[in-house]
Amino acid sequence: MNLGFKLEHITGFQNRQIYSIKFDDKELNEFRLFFSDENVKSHKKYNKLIAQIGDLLTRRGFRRYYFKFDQCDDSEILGYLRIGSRKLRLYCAVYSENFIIFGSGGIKNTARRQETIEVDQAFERLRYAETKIAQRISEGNISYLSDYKLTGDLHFSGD
Amino acid sequence: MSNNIFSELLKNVPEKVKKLVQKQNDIAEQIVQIIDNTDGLTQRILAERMGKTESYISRVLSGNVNLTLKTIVAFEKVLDEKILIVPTLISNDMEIGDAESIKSLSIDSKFTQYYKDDFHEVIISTFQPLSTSSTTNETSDELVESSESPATNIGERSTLHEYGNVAYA
Repeated sequence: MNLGFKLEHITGFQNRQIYSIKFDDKELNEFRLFFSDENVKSHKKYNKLIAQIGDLLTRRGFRRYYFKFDQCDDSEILGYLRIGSRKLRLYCAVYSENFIIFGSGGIKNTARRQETIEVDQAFERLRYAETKIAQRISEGNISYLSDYKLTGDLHFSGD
Repeated sequence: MSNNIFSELLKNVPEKVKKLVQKQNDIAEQIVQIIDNTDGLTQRILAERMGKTESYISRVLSGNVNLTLKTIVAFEKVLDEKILIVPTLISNDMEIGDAESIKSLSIDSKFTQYYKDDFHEVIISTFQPLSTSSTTNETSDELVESSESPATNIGERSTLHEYGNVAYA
């Protein structure tokens, strides 16, 4: 996989920011894609998921215990919001209590994530992007402003 | 969808769902704070003490369990801390018939201002003194649970008004 993408700001509150990833081969960013999915929209925990994001953004910060991190993965920041039975999965990279990047996800209706293709692909795309983003942050080509908005080169070219 | 997609999404979430999420997270954070401030206490130890799985505790701490009052009380007992504080008419330490507790009952002044008459009715319909003496004597006043009609002739409303924290006649 060598996809081009860019980081898009979704929303912010005081010094907390939510970003998402817009891949070149998709019309919408991953966050919008997730919330445009009819299966997601009809899920019984749909409203709770949105309310949870709102509460974390405006009141608490993106504290780690609100997320489930994929322990099978090397990364300590890739996970999803813990909502209900955890079948409704919105994947994200939690960098700090102030900064999060949402990918997409879907309804995991199999025992293992890898068996629900759409959900697994969403996770893999986020993992791919996160590797590139982390590299750029470590090189100093992307940095945070005081309110945790990103500054620097937010475009990542593919092949 | 509008430019700020999240505001648009949030706007359509029913208020009661938002309130429930906030309340569940408030309770979760209260427990997290107690764990963090207690030396040697971990989610695993808490799970053991509660007789629950660590996974359950983890779900509670992520605001993902609609806790019953019974479970909240169980957490409070194990943690030896208050998690949920509810405004109450009755002192936490009071038991029915406990005259000393009744005497020391403190009522918020705003509360008494607005609800003093109702409160008085509750008190006189619940408790009936052994003596109908109009004088208050802290050492001899006794209260018993009323089993019959409210004692309409006991005490004066002015007693409640005057002291503000006296819930007996």
